Amino acid sequence: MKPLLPFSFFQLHPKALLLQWKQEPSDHLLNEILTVKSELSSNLKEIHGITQGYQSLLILLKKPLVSSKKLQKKITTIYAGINRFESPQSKHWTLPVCYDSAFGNDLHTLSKQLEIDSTTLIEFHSGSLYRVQFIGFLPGFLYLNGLPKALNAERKSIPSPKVQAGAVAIGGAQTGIYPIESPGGWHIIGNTPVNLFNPEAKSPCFAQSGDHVTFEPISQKEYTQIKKAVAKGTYSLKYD
Amino acid sequence: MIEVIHPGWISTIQDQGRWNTLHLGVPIGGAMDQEAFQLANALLNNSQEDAVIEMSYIGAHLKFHQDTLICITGADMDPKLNGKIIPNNKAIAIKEGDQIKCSHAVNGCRAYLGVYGGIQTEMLLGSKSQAKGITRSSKLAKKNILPIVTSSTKPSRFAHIAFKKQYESFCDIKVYPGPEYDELSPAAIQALTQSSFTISKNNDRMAYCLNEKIVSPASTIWTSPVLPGTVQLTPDGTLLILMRDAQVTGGYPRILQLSDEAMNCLAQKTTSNQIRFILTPVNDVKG
Repeated sequence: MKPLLPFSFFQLHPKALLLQWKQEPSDHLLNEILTVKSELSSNLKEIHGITQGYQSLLILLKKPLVSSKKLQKKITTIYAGINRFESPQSKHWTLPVCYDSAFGNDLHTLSKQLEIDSTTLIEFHSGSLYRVQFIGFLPGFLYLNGLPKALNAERKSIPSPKVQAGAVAIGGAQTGIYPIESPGGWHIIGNTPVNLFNPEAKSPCFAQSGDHVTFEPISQKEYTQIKKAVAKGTYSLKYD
Repeated sequence: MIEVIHPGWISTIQDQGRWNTLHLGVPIGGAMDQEAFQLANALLNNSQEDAVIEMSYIGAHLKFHQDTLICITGADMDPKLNGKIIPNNKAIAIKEGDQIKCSHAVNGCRAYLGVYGGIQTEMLLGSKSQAKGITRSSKLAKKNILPIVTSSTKPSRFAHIAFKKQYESFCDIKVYPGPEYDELSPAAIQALTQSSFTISKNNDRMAYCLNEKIVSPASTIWTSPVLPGTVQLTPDGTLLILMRDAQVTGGYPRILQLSDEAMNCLAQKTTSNQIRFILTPVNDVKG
């Protein structure tokens, strides 16, 4: 008997097959997607790369498919062999952030917009536990969920042409850190001195999907010290 | 080595792109016109993945500091070797001290200069393609020095093909329905498949924006995977065709997906060029 799949297939391109879940994003859904992703990565030799979204996985293939039927069957078999969706081995990272107005360009306007004072805003932001859903938008840009409802804020109507590398920002129900200088429509509330993406490192990005992140407020002085240590290569990010 | 005397309008090192770091948010990148890129390598008897110089709109002026072989493919940039015109799609011997100077692109907008053994710049995350946030510089600049291999063995015959692709005459591009295609209104589908679209001045290696808008209700989606060639519909009805340097995820409805041939064809088009979408079921594609 054919097992019931929680996702549907959509062939996007002769070399790309999309797996789409209908459920709203949740911790459970993320664990399920990560389990499927890891099983497919280790068991499907035709894979060229995998991209992940909130409710989907995109499987890129080395060779074009005349029909995706055979591959769908293989994926179905692999899925049927999964016993349970385990929470992947994850790390909890503590990221230092300076919320000083020198970095948090939009802190003032955002606290007005949300009708909470900036001290409370910082307390809420740094007092919450976030989970890395996936990495996208820019190399090393973590999609984090777990932002308190009180801090949800519509994106800027006109994006800033230049957001600094390390900028910590709020956009909609999400918070994130810009790993490199880029245009961006989110509200900037602080900056981390940590380097978020190093293409020359063995692991270019410190975190992976499923990991947890908290932000630790630091002073401008500590920011400068950490920045120096990062440049020297003597700084290592805290995790447990 | 090759010395960049002038990079032209915008020239970059490109290859097949990065495929193993999508999960880190790294764009695929790579040569915009993969067909012309592969042809340059094939005519030089290079490996398929060897890096080439991609020149857009106005070609580069280069000086060679060693003997080698080159081959230029793609758009016609009226390339000259020490002032004498050389043809595209032909392997050409270069002597130490020779200069190659290209001018404005006609018939297409991107040319590829392949060199024997490939450009030997830094390999990062599985590719030499220049990309913002990955490689030290995101494009070639004056005085850049590009290492190449020394070739002592010369091919006995110089490969060439009598091939001239009329890039301008191709305006029908093959597309597949995207995941959110079914949400489009019948009127929007008709407009999408039966009218011509013009490439706006906002076109680069990340995305091509089209001038004509589509009126259709389309929900925003949870951020989802996208690919080079994904056509997004933005809330104001603008169509955005993602190109090679596009981000790996996006939150706009994905209404169409370009075929590989369509991507290569579009790579040779620019501002005010017109295209028509020819909708094809993805399963009809021959392997």
